[in-house]
Amino acid sequence: MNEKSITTKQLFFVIFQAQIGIGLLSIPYSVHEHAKSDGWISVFFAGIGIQILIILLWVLLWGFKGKNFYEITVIVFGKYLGKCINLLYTIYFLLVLSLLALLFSDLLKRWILSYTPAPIVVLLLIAIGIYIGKNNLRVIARFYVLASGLVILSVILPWFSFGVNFQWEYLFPIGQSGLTNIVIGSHNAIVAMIGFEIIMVILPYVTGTYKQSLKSISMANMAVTLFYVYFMVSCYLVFSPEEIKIIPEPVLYILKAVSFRWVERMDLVFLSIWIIPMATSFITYVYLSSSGAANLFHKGRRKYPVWYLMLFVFLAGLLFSSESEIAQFDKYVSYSSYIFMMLIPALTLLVSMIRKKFNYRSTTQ
Amino acid sequence: MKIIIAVYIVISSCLLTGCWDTHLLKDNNLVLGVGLDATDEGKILNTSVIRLLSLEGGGKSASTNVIYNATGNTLREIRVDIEKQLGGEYAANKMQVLAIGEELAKEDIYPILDILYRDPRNSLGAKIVITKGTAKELLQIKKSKEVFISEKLTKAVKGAEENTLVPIETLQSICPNLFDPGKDFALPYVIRKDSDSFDIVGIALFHGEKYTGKVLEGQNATVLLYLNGEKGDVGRLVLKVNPEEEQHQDQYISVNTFLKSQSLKVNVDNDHKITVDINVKLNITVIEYPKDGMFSDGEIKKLNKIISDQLTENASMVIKELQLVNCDYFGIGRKIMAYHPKTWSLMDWEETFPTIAINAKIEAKITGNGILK
Repeated sequence: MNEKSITTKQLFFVIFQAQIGIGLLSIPYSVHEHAKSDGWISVFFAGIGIQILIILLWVLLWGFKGKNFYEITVIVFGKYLGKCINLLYTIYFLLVLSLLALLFSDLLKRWILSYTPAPIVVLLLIAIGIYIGKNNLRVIARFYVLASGLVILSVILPWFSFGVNFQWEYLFPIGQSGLTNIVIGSHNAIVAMIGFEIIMVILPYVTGTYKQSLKSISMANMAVTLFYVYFMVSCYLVFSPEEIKIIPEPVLYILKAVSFRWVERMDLVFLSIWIIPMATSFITYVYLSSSGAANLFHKGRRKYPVWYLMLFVFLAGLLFSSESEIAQFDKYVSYSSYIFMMLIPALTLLVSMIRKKFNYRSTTQ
Repeated sequence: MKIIIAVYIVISSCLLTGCWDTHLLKDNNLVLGVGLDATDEGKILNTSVIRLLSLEGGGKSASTNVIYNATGNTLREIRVDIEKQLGGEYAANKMQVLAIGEELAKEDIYPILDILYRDPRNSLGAKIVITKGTAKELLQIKKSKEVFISEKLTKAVKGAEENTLVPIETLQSICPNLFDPGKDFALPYVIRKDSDSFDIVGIALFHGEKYTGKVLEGQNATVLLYLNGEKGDVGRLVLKVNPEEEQHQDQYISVNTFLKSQSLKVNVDNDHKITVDINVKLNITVIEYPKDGMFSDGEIKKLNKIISDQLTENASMVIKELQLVNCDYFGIGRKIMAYHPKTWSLMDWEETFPTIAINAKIEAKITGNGILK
């Protein structure tokens, strides 16, 4: 594949931006369903779980230096089976992409653009996806680094709402919901934190050794986990446990009541900032799915697939209309992500070791 | 390539104008204040103070407030009804104050607030007040001393907050407490005095989602806020410290109070018996003391003691009132839930709260006396 390289520092921001996205806004609510006020512990568990998945993917790529996942499957399983797996992955990424677009339009429709037709909102996101997603990896990485500034700055926003209501007691007693519920809750957190799978495709293009890359990726995952925990705890301190049950986007809602002499409705400010990480998650999957399709049909050139895959996303956006349908779709996609993030990579690793294709001593060239 | 860019620009400029969701000011009728009352058939009577802007010549604009009344089963029904009369959008997103009539507040208040929490366009920074009699009467003042009633009311509430007379609450800040079984809240209580003035007399105590019918007035309200560690910029108290003096004004001392520290400890013993200790320390400065004579340390210490005793007595009275109407203003239930979960699971808080022992102690210390001794 013809792709420009990125540095390990850029890799950090790519993973950071890929993982953070629309999930953050509702994660305190979705995790609260099972883990109650211990939701933030669930996020820690989710961070550890994702770290394990990252190591699994990394070990696999480490054994085939200079090759991305789409090339590895062909080496391990042979041409036909390998291509089939690649096709499945492309479809999976495409489904995630459609889901992201749907969630995005649904969110914007509920919060700001209540009269705008949903396909228009989807079209806006797709336009961004094509505009940035069709570029090479280096351009995308640079954009991610640039966009990270605002995201990191948004950390101060919850502080404003602490004046409205703030109770340490809401967090206690720690561990009240029991280990089982906390672990179940961490499933919802993992769903909000996926996006790290971009390493399957981009790791070979990172300058520096594989070990340095692993360090960057792990740091990014840690940063994302802490970021999520921070927002979770902020929400749990401001909302009483009974109240959070009826608020699907607590991270936005805590800013709704904040008002200053010169500005009101900080939630809209936050939402405007948050469109960027939502878009970067989307672009991540544009990259993943288009490179899958490029690998299958276009000898690695992503120019065409970006366009026709987006057409598919747009059509998918027309199919779903109600929130419950989207929720159902969300559920299927999130469960299938375990197959694609865990099961298939583990299987590939196992088969490659049995068939003696795995060679960590190999050099990049 | 240039053509693609051109097409892109044309398409995006069509899409990005936000044609569907523009809300032009000229089509909006800004609602600044809303009053809600119960009617006999269980319906809601809504009184809306609406700001109308009319353009005059020379680029000037004049604003007037008009008041609309409507009755309906739900607030949304009422809004639709008023919109028909107005010929424009009923824009409650700039609402500054929400007045709820006594009778309505005694029922569950969440159903009338739901519309405000659910609509994404609403700002939740509005102040809420409970009015004696009906909210309609209060808002129909229209202009209080030459100022529009909604502005005047908001300002008065903010002033009372600064003087530690009412708690700092907004639409959003009461929401956690509405749902929390372990903490209750209180709201400013307003009475209409005559044809064009009103007064914030104290705070109306709530239990769960209902107004209990009990109001703490003046000094009692301030004491309650201090007991809970809440403070405005300053508290203003007038205390009768020398009842033996002949001259009436000499009997009194006026002080500014500042909260120094507050602690609330919940103790649960092995039999799950709950005792609560509240300690408050206040710094006070004397701003009026016609009797004069704060010459010696002894005199000041004597005053300190008299004031502390009076406030402590006041505090136990306030707590008795709270327990009488079952208003857990201090959030003791929430603390027990958090730190003594076992005790919480064993008891019924509704029944337990009025019976627990709450000991309060207020210590006041004179730290300043103006430019006179």
